[in-house]
Amino acid sequence: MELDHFYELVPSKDYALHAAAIQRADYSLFDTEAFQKGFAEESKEETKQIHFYLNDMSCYACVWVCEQVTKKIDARCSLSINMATGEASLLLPKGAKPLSEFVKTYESLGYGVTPNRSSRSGKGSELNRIGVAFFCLMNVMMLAFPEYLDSQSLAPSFRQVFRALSAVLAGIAIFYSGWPFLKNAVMSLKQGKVHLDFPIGLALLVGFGYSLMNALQGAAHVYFDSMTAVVALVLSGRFVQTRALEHILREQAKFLEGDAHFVRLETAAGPKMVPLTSVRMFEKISVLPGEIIPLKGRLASLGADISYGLLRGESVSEGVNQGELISAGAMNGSRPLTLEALEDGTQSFLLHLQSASRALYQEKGRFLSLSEKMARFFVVLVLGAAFGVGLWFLPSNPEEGFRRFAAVLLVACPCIFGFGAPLVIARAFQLGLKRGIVFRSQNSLERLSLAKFFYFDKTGTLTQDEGRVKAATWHSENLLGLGLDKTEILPLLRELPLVSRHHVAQGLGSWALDGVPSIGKFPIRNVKEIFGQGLSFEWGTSALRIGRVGFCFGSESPGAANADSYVTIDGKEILRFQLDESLRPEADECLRQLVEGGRKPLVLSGDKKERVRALGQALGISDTHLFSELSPSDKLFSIAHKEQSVMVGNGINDALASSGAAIGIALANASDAMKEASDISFQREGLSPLLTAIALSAEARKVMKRCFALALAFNSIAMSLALTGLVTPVMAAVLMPFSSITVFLSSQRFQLKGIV
Amino acid sequence: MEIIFLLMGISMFMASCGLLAFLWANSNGQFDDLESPAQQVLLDDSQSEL
Repeated sequence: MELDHFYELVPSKDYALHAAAIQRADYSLFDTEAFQKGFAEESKEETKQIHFYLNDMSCYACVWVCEQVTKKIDARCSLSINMATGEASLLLPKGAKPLSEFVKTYESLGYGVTPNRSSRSGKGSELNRIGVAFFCLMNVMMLAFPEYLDSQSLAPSFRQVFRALSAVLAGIAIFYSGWPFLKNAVMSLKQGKVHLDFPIGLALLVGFGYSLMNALQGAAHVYFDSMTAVVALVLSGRFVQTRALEHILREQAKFLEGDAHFVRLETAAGPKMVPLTSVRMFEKISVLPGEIIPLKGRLASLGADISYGLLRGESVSEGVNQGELISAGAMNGSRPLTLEALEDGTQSFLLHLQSASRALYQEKGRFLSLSEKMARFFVVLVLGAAFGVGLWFLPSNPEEGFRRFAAVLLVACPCIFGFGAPLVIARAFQLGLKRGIVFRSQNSLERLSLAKFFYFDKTGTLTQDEGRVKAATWHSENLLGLGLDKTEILPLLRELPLVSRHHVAQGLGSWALDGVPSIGKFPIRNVKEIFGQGLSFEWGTSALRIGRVGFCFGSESPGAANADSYVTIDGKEILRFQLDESLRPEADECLRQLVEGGRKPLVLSGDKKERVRALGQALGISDTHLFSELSPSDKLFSIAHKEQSVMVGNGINDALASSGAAIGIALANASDAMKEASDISFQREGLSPLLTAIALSAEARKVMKRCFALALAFNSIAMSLALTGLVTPVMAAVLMPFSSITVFLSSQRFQLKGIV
Repeated sequence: MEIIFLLMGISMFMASCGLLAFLWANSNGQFDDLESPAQQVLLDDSQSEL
């Protein structure tokens, strides 16, 4: 079938062409050995297998197009794509066209290529374990029937055969399928930590041993079916949760993967954007104020101030002189700097940042999650009861003591933790993802609804994205007086985004972009950026300033409107403009709902006091909740009640506060550093996902608590029966699946709730 | 009643066949991608020009 015909079958005809073509500066990167490490592997017969994600696959036509163009580039190569996950793998036989050709083609069609460096193993054996467990479970249940019916009227030989078969099947389930629990139980014992797998592992071993003993003696009380059911159910619950988490991680990998980092390489023809991984030792790169130093190097420009705040949590900026060393991960302060690389880009810090930031989050998870708290409570309760009753009977009747010890461990069903909580969390993650919310940890999901203090950044978070220049007027008299023409100034403004990420520079740059040719290099010196004020630089013999009244003219001139910004040369106005910083349309409603929910919105901004106050008035936030003129570290220190605080932001200057707050939230327009430092990131524009995320979190807590209450009720009844020695195999067998099913149904109620 | 031993043997054998089929399918990657193959059958294998 031709592609044209394919499109006739689908209602909208722009499926494959919806994504904008992507162009990278340099595709040769993909052919280097160093870059391919981790996602290219040698498979059989001198064929290389390349694993990557193809982004923005929307229907099978996309898959078809990519597979066809692959064949067209080189008929010996083949591409296979998993449409559900976007995972693709390309088979390149020796002597085939280089990888870069393929990547270039895919990206020119609009399908971004992200190397897939995650490991590709484990899933298969997990499924095998589950399959074996369910096979054993079905057969054991069938074989267990005689136990529940009138076991006495059965001929002993029948009973023995049934029990022997059950024992073999349960043994396979416990020691093959249940191996992960046993392993973790031993680990938790070694490390002295309470781990949910410890009581599960212990219960499996004790239950199996006890049942085997009874079966050999011909006594009642064999639990082979319950043991097998626990293994099968808990394994399934974990499998579902792991898959959901993998899905989340994959979504993140798409925007966090290494090659997304580009740097400005200094070349003879001026700065050129290249992937970080292609930078070689002793090459020079330039770093703008507010950017992170991507690799270890020596300062080649005259002087700089940098801060290690993002790395160390302390935020004093230090001066660095020419020739001194700068570590990767530092943040550049107020001046652009040039760095001579002392390591290759492939060894760069930023590439390791992803794994490092994951570790950081694990460290951050010092708060116990709700399910951990419940699990710990449960483990202590069950072990306490089991050992208590065992020790009580030990002096008088050791055999009875062991019997009751085993019975308590057995009837205590850990389904809520092994099965219920993972399902709830996986479900919430999925619902979030559908609504453009990526929870990076279970903790952030569970804790978000508890937070009382919501700190918002101003620019780009509460207000619309980067400032847009409006109402710009040239001061023609002053221009004339300086002997200049605006056609000389415009090219300068156009190049501003190259030297500064300040929103004034970005705004002016895109404003001047129209119809002005690039001058290729940048004839200005000594660019200084002052947080929250503006920037200054030298051009020839003149000093230029861009920013607000106070910054440009030295003092607040009374007549000037506060909203205006200026470009001045030697203190003389040449351009007056306004940065359009309108509020996000949903900001008002969002804050109102936060307040209604008993939460406190606060504003942390680097901007001027008056402007923050004006914003506060528009949003109805009292002055005591507004903090202005803050540096990134001030933002961190302004956050009180850290355990109940949420930092919502988008800029690199929010990153520090975000990692300091209990939960950091990065909006869709956030910088990479902010996304790295956040626990939740939005993929949908604006603030509205925030309310959805809170609702999801509240709902998840509610459902988990309900599951826990149910499980606790069941377990209390079952355990008290077991403690008194009344529990029979029939009761255990009825209670166990009944409680599992209730917990399962309860956890699935989640989807029925109307979450916005 | 001895027939029950035979029946048990048969049932275990059949269930084992099911398990082996599952293990074989899993090791052959039958569960790796549950969406694409269903759509793939709708397309011809022709190497048409784009």
